[in-house]
Amino acid sequence: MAEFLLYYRDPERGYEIGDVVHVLPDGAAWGSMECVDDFLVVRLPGMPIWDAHAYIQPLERETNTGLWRHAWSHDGYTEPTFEMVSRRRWKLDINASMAASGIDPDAFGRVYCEDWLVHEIITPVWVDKAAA
Amino acid sequence: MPTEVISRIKASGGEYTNLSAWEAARNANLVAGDRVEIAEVYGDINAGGCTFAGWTMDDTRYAIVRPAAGERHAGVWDDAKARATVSTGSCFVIDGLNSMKVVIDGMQLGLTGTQTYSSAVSSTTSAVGSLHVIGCIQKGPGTFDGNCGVRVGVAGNFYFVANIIYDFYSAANQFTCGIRNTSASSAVYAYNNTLYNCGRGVKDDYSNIRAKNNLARACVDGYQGTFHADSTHNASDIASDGPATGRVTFSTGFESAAARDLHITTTDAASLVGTDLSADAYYPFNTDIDAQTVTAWSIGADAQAGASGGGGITGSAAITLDDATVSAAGSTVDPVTGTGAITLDDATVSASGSITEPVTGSASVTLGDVTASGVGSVTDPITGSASITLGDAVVTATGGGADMAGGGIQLYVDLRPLSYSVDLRPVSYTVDLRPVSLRVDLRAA
Repeated sequence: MAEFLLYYRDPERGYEIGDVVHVLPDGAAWGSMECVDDFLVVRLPGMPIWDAHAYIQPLERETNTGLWRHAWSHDGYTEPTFEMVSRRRWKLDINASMAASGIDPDAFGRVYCEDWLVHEIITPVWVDKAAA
Repeated sequence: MPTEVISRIKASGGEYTNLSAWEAARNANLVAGDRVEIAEVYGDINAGGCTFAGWTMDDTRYAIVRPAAGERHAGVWDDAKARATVSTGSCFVIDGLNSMKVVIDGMQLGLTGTQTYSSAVSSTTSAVGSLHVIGCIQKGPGTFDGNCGVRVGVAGNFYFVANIIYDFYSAANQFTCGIRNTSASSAVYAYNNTLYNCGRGVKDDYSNIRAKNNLARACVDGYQGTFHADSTHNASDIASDGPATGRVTFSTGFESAAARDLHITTTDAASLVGTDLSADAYYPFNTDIDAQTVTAWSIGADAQAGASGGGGITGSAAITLDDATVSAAGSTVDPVTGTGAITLDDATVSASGSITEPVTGSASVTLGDVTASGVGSVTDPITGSASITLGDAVVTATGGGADMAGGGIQLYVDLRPLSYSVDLRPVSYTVDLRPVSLRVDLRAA
């Protein structure tokens, strides 16, 4: 299983709530500043860590395409080039995921803050920004 | 004077487990906050697509990623030292808004997967104020298209100094490079880098790279494109390769290229005479890949020939050595290093074998009447950032220990006039404080 460090504060700095900042194997010792304020840790049962890494990739757009790529490549060769559109392509819709997983948000927040219990999201609801 | 805020990036036990979380949490207006944000890295961390974006910085209030004390490489990739690796994508993406100053100093950056068109450090989206990649080892994934050690695709000032960059290779793909500039409006300063087994060592599309004292070997093309007119003293194993001014052809050498120990040998040094950049108009500096002070300017990242040579005495201020003998031989690195206030009265600091950094500190390490010696694979005997005082003490270390004082274990001790010995095999150690004997077991620490 994998644990996801989700961005969990007002949208700024290019992150949105629910963006996957980092992933670690189940039971990881997250840093002391990763447990509070800026982030939320959730566990996704059944997701191998090697699959989880796909969720920390940025959303990029290829800029050197079509006529530009073939006619204007500086030294006569084509090269794919990219620019970053968003820090992360994927974000977890936290509210929808909790609802789909049958988790009461208040209970979730209380045990998370008081007991540092990492909740399991059984039915994650992902948002693919590339499709937006 | 800006406040330095240091965060520990560790697999466990630090403030953050990864640089992305650190970047997200510490991201702020550093000018308004009057501070420098420092990420100190311990061991292996997954860079995890760390993107710098949205910060407000200036020349004195900025962000640094660097190894913690005792975690810096010794010029050769070391899995036991601070490193940031990724198996997908790039290690660092710098996305600037013109107000960024990011310094990546002394790190090991590696691409470990089968990725393509990725970089150890990349700037491709919007203009950067300045990016400094200094004294880093950048290891590519081998033969995969389009990967680069550092890749510049936007406007800004980019300083790539004393790095060792290797294994970003593709025979046919022209975009697989050690250092690459694709921006028409950048200013790139590539000084004293060693590029080995790269498709193209240094590639410049727009004559914006000032290439000085670089060394390219075993690349398909050491230098491709047209370089800034200031470029000089670059070496390649390919004849007539690179900017013509001061060009050197160099086809043999290194301590062990197969093992990627790209330190130069004494023989290499004779033919790799570089230009003095200690007073360079754009980026004056005087340290090499081993953080050793450069006294004789050579070409490439390693300035001091010899097998991982000792660092001698380095520091920026206030190191006092009264009646002291400081000696180092073999693979020792950095005996006596600091940035201020290290005093060694009547001291003998000696080391032979594979010792790393005996006596290191950033302030207030005092060794009165001390003999500090180490033999074997000891790492970091006596390190600290403040207030380690050892009056009339004898400090010896033998075996495979590490971090006697410093790093994760901080000792603040004043033991004069006592003598004591420390055995660091391998985790627990005994401190003899005659007439008091004390055993300290730190296995759970």
